[in-house]
Amino acid sequence: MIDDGILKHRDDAGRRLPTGAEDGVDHKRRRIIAAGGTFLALLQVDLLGSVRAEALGHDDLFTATTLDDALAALGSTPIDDASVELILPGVVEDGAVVPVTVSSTLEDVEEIYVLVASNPYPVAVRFEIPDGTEPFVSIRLKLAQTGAVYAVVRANGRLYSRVAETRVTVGGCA
Amino acid sequence: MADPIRIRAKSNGGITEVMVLMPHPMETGLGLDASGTGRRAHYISDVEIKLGDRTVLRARLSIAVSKDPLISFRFKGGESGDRISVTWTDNFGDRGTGSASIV
Repeated sequence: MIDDGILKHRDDAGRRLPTGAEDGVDHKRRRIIAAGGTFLALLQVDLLGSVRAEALGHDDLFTATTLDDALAALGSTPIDDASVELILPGVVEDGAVVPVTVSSTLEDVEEIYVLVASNPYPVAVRFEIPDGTEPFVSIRLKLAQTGAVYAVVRANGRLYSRVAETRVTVGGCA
Repeated sequence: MADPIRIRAKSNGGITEVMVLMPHPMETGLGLDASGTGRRAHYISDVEIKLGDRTVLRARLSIAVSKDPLISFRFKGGESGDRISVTWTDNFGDRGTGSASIV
């Protein structure tokens, strides 16, 4: 079909046909090309969509835009547990620098996450705790606004969490 | 990245306490500058801290970590004089390294 369109531009000797004839064919070609382009675009959207759905890994964690998506990317819902300790100020004037400390009395802690519910991307940081390192980490985070902060600890393949609320007078996400 | 990484490591009763400060803009890419145009996100994404060959902490950071990230943690072992080394990588692919002795 497309070949026809191309061939009609030239006669048997390879000379270009008069403009009138060329114009008529050109429109047909354009339609075919446009249809093909639309089809390819649709195909691409679909492919990207399915790739994104499959890649439920750590990258999803940091690109999650809601707390629910972030928790889903972690694999399971954490159990609220007193063995996780989360220390952060109750009120901060400057949301740009909020000290957060997470520790745990659990054995075999593998990972520690800090999630800030009100941030555009809730997952703030992930620590890998190798054997011999204490389940104790401290870091300074930006908080966009008042909201809940979650500490999530992975120990023996299970997730434990603790939540605390911090009131922010000036947001820190500029 | 002219500013060096600052590391303080102190051994106390078989536990080493480490504090690491990595000077970095940690730009979120969400805000606007004075002229009203967007800024590019520029942040440390990965940090690895080692005692000799032993990895004692690995961290994945996001734009939500404050400017000049400061991380403290503790690990078992480490003696006075042992070397602690820190390596970070940012989302531009730049790297920063530093090391210090445990006191």
